[in-house]
Amino acid sequence: MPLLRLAPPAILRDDPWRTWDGTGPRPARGPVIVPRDRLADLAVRPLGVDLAPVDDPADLRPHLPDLALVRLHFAFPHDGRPHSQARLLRARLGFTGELRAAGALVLDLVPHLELAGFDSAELPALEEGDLAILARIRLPRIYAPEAGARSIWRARHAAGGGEAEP
Amino acid sequence: MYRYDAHDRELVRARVRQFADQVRRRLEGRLDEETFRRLRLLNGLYLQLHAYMLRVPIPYGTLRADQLRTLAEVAERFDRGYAHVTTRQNVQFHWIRLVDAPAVLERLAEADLAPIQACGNSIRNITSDPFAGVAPDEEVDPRPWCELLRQFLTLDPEVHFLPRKFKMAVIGARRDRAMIRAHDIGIRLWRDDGRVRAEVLAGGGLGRTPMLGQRLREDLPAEELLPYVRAILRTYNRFGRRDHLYRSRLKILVHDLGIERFRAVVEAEYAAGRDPELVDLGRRELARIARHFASPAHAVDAAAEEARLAADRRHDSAFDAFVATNVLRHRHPGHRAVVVTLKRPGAVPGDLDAAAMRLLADLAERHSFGEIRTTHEQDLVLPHVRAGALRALWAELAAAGLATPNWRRATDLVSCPGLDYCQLATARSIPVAQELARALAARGLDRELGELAIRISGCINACGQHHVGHIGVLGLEKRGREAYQITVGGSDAEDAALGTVLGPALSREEIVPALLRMLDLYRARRRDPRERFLDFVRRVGPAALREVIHAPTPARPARDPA
Repeated sequence: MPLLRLAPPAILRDDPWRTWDGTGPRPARGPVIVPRDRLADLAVRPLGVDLAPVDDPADLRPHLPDLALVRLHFAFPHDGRPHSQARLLRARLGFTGELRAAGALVLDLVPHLELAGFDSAELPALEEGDLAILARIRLPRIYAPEAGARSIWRARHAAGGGEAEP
Repeated sequence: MYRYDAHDRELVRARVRQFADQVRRRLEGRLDEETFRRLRLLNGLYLQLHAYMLRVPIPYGTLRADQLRTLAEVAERFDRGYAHVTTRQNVQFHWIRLVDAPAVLERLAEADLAPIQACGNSIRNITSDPFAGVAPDEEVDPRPWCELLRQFLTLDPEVHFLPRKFKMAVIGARRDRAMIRAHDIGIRLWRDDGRVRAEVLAGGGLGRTPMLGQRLREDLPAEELLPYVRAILRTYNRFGRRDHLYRSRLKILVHDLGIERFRAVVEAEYAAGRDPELVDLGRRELARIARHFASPAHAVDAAAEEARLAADRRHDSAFDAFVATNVLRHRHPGHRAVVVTLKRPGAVPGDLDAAAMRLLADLAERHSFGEIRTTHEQDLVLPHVRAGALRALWAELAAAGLATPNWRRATDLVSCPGLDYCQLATARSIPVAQELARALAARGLDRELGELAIRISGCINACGQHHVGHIGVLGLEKRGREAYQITVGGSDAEDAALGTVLGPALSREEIVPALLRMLDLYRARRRDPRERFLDFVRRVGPAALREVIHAPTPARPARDPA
């Protein structure tokens, strides 16, 4: 499956990460993404994990120092749950590794993934022309501070609460 | 009133650019309808029976004169010359062509209007008291808080893809003029020794499973509203049902968990997730926004204004009647708020043509500091009129057919678009509203009946808010024919209540005569003319009305006693 790097947008044809679904021979080396309930079984690095939309990111807390990637799954394109998981991972659990979106994704929702702090997305089909579309449909900013450097409120009030213009 | 700065404009323009690209790809066949449907809903574009409907949120019901003129221009250039005011203080256009949608959005953006999240499973327009900043009983002006929440919840990915639509209302007075208990989140701001506190309700909503919101917090410090609302929305986003369209609203989650458990989950999330930066930025942003809502200069000779109004009322009985029903006291001496009901008997409730929009924009500029409000009763308000200017204003309204003296009277009835426009509808609601209003007007009953809220919905989704009408009418379909069910005893005010259904549904021919018989019974049996229909129903009980609804007529033989 083609992989989209979000900022700046780029299509990666060779994903370094492999997936182990928990059956078959254990992978001997990383980078590998494994099911949540098999995290404790593997000592390979770099290590990534799959989270289902119903999973609680807080369950990853003991494993966070070992994790380089968390992959969040969208059950359908307008599934909002991974967006909350992404916020919890970043803001509450302090996860700084790669956040990857997977599942029922469509290109037109990529701008929201970017705002939510995702780094990459597995999309079913990607063409070079899609990068031009992404440039046209980009949403540069929202208000809330969770958007980090792209928060309008942060920009407005950075210089002592004046009416700064972008 | 709030005006966009460069940041707001940049955000809206990026969104318009995005949607224009999506529309173009859809028209070129490069975007499938299912994907596009979700995208267009979040841009306010809804496919109805005959055409696309564009819903334009009027933030917390506040409109500037230039914005109303822009809506008039859109109505003429892109629609059929009129617009429709909705029960959520929005404005809808019912005949938009998809190919024109990007141009409409661009035009709206120039006037600081954007249909972001107007439909779809996200935070809809945050509604409020149409008399905010005006009402003498107001403790806290809710508008800056509404604007703060609007910004906070616009395009935020965490609230853009909720299990279902999400409605919020914020007020700042004891009197509830925005039906906060019928919203997913209802907020009442109040003042405690100078500090602003928030009563927070959750889990209200009408639709097919009507429920009244329950209290989560009585006295949340208002500066904590952003993290607290975030905690409610995160709880809903994570745990709300997504497997069944009719079980996905917040009210179902609150009901399934029970208010105590729901509160515990929200409080735990709030405690763990409270971000001091969010609270600090919220405080500073609120202060910036509040400057936009500074009260306009109302310095007048109040005694002279009042004397002029009193004299004008004595000289003109029609004007006097209008003042008695449609004019409200104002917090500033010598001023009044004027309700322009869009309910001339026989007209389509809430419809407004371009000429009327322009006239109201002009009148707002001349008499009301350029401000207009929309109400959830599908009416408009000119909020700041000098008492001494009321008669001149009234004369111009009357000449345009906009001075019907019926605010909160029987003919000020609310109706959804129903089967005349809506794909979800199971019966027509507009013709019932028109026939009923004509019959009431012909009998001169408006004055006689006093305060009466009649609410008509064309389907169980309840956009006409029939559950909270003193009298509610719900249009259904029974064996291929339109049928109408009556409820009584509902209220959308601070004494919020859901109406009680009065037996089986009636046919299209039977419904209006049945309602008139019911009102005759009320007039005959009320204690005195001050006993409102709602109070009467509460006193005698709904059952007392059941009999007269189903009175035998030649076309309908009496049924055997059960």
